[in-house]
Amino acid sequence: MTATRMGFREQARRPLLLILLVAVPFLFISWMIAVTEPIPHLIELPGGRYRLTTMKELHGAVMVPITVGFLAGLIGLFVVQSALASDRRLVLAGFSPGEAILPRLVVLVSGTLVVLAVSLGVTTIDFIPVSWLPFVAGNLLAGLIYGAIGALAGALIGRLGGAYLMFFLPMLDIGIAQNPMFFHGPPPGWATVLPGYGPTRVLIDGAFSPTFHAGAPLAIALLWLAGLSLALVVLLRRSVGGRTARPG
Amino acid sequence: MSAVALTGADFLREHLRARLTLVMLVTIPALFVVASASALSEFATALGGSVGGGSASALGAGWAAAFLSGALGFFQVASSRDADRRLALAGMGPTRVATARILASVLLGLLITIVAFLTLWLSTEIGRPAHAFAAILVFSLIYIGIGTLVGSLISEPLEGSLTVAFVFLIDVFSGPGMSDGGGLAQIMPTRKAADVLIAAGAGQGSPRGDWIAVGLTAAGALALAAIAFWLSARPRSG
Repeated sequence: MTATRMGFREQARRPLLLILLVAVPFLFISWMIAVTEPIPHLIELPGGRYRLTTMKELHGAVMVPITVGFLAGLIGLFVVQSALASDRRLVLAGFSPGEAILPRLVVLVSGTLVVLAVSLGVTTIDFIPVSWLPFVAGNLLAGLIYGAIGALAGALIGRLGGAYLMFFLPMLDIGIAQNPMFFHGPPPGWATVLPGYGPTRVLIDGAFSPTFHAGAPLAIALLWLAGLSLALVVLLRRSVGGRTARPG
Repeated sequence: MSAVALTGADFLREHLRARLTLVMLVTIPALFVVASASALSEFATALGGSVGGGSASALGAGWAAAFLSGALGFFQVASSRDADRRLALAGMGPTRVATARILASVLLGLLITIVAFLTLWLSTEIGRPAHAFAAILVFSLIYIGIGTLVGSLISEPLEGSLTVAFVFLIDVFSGPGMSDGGGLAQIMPTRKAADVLIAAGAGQGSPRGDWIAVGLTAAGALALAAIAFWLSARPRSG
């Protein structure tokens, strides 16, 4: 509890971060929706159904996971990166590896929830999904998956390489490969192996369909999240607890 | 070899010491150019812009170079402030440290530009490849300037990265090809470079005035970066 409280206090001391976490989704989402033309566009929903919508509505739906994935990825990257050294010291001071890394994961999930709440709030000014539950669930899964990828990148690649990766991966995956603005049928075959496939199909179903048909994409998204979370916990436990202090 | 060149080479080695960082620098622009090629023209139409074909692909290459260079510039300043100050105090002086940093940043920007340009050239038919290369390099230099400026004002990596991303998103999505070109687009830093890049992608040359504006913007960005590096490296009293 103490470590978690300290983790939140550390973030609360950064007012610029809080401003940016609100300002970036607010400006990015509202502006992008505002400038998009209402051009008719046919999309395929999970379950093989088709729906005629507009580019503007579609952009409203997909801006949320792009923004949440991008921001959660950066939060994961830098929260884990900055915490690794201090968490090693916490373990040396007597904390168990689990006690040291849990607060970081709580901060990461909380940051993702803040970004998700702001993004959803901004989006609803211009776009209301047909089914809220799958829409929110898909966006939450996108955020958690990319938060975990960012955290893994922070631990494996380092700060700079991780930043390069997290600047582009959510854009390439959710923004291009999964984005129905750029195709009329299902996503291209290669896109289905990317982490954004499951969440995006779930939220597109929620955005445009009154009934849920995205069971398989939901299962794929949950598998991605479980696999990444497991890898992250194993890696962080090893990083903070697997080394002993070296003399000198 | 002069102390500046040696230190610049050391800064370069420091940046590329992690093999995965180098891998990211090479693969990300290439992947982005290839993946965004077909999407960008459709996206531009949806936003009320009018860029397509080779011009859209060329714009994607410029964006990739710009975004990576912005991150590069930010981390060059934010993660090396203390080391640079010690180097300056040890006898190199802030001017030579700043020059070495600029040298390393420009070389890294050149590497990113070469990867983005080669991918563009191999994947799309570009009518004016030399113009496209120059414009992509200018995108990179402008964002090195923006990244270093942000890095001199903000030291926290998350806040700094978000600020660079914030500037980048406003810049590119209000720029030529992605909007009607009015209002905010007129004052965006990469506006003229984007005009040149779009023209090059379509096989057209650009007016002399555009080239002068592009050159001045790139020079201004490098001057900004030099000032940011110098301010970071200068010794503080007390």
